Amino acid sequence: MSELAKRRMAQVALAVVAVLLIARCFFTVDETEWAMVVRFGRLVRVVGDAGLHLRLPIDSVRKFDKRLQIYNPPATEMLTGDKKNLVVDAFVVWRIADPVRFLQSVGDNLGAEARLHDLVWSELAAAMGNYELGRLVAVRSEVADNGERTALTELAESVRERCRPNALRLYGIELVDVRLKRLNFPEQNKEAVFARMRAERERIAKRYLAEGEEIATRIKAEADREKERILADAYRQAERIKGEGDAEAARIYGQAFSRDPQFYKMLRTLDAYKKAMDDKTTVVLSSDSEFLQLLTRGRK
Amino acid sequence: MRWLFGFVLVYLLSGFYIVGSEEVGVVRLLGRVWQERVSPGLHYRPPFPFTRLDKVKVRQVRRLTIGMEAAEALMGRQANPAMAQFLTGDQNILIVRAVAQFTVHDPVRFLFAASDAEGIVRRVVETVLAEEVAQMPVDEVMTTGKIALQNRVRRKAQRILEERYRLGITLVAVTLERVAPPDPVKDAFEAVTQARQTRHRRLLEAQTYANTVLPQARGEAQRVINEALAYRERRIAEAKGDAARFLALWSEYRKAKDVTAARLYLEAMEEILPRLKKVIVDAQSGQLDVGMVRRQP
Repeated sequence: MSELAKRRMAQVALAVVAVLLIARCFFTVDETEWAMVVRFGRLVRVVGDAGLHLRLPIDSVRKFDKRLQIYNPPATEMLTGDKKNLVVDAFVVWRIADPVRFLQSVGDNLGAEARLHDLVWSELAAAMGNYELGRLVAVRSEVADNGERTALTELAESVRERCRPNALRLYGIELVDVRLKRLNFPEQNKEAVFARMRAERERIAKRYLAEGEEIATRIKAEADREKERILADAYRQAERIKGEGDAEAARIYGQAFSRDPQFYKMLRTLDAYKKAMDDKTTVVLSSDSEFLQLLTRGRK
Repeated sequence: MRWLFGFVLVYLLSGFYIVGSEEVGVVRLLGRVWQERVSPGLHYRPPFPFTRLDKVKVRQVRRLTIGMEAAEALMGRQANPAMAQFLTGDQNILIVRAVAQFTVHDPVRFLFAASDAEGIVRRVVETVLAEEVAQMPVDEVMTTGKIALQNRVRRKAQRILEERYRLGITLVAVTLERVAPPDPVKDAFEAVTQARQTRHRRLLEAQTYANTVLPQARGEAQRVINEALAYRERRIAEAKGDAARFLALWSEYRKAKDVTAARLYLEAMEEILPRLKKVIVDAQSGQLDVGMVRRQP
């Protein structure tokens, strides 16, 4: 290898080393990160601004996620104030607020979750003991839409308020939110719950059926009563009309017959005879009756 | 040397990128947000590693299923039943599956505020849903209260997301896809539905009864009244007829009283007597032979 070639090689190597060294003096921080500059194991600087930053080539950089994190462990059983077992599914939203403290006390997200679990879930279990099931799960006639907090929110908020200072002071973690995602009965209690639900349904079904009978009977009875009323009313009118007819007829008869009551009596009697006597009637006639006078005695 | 030039050219050209019509581009230069809202079209940015490009579909309505994990929903199998179970205010267990729909209105916050923005949205909606259901009676959740519940959950969840998280998302809608009793009590709920239908049917039957009975009664009433009217007409007409007959006869009678009276009497007797069984008794003796009467057939 010639002297020239050797010098070329050395130049190139130097250039590469220089470029690497210059690159080592810069580091980028993303919008989503905290960066910590560590020199010989000692924390020198914390960078929260995204962008390009300077450092000594000997410094190393550690990064933490700055964004909101969710911690949502599997649901656990807790006891309510009235000693009822509930399966509580809660979650925590947190972020690193003090990366220095976080680095020193926690180290990484897994460690953070373990500590949050100890801190928050013990508070949660304690708070749960202050609430009766009937308060957490209760029908509210007027469900408020704004402002008014439910017992569940209240409980979660109280836990958050209690854990917040410690989380920040001890672990550099900001507890953004604690929420009770879901309440349920433990599997072993569900049979009893289902039995209760079933009994309740049966009661409701019976009530519906009874109501149906009641309504139907009432409507039918009302219809029947109305029918009777209509018929009675019609009868009343009909009788009145008939009475009018009879009265009018009587008036007409009276007017006519009063001209000669004697003659009327005779005519009417004869008519009555015609009607009253039929072939089953046996009549005993005296021989001196008007009809037979001529028969027995001849012309008077 | 030509080879190097070509390489540099290709590298520089790699900075061109296209933002789709439904997207917004967010460009980070050396980690810091450089362009917040790149509108659709062809754009240039310094190539990797100096910039990083994220495209966010801002027009797209994203869906989240609650009551079932997304992966399980994709696989189409029923989730762990407890996952979909909610407690109602009257301590019933209900299966509820809801879908939350949201859009991104602030791509920067959506990208950088949380490591799992969707996960937060899902959990907040689920929390609010559970909380609201825990204050309603089971029947209301299943029937009348559904729409109100959806609206309330959307509003409350939106407010929480806005005040506490600021994820740059807007909750468009929360829809209850399925509200059903758990399998072990399904038949009991079914029985209630049927009982309700039975009640309704009984009501209709009764109304039908009333609707047939009353017109019938009214018809009957009309008939009775019409009959009475007819009776009145008849009675008056008869009376007038009889009176006319009487007066006619009477005017005859007045002309020759004895003769007419006798004639009327005899005519009547003529008519009556042939039909009768007759026993004639002598007026003097006044005796009646009863045996003779009996012998008559």
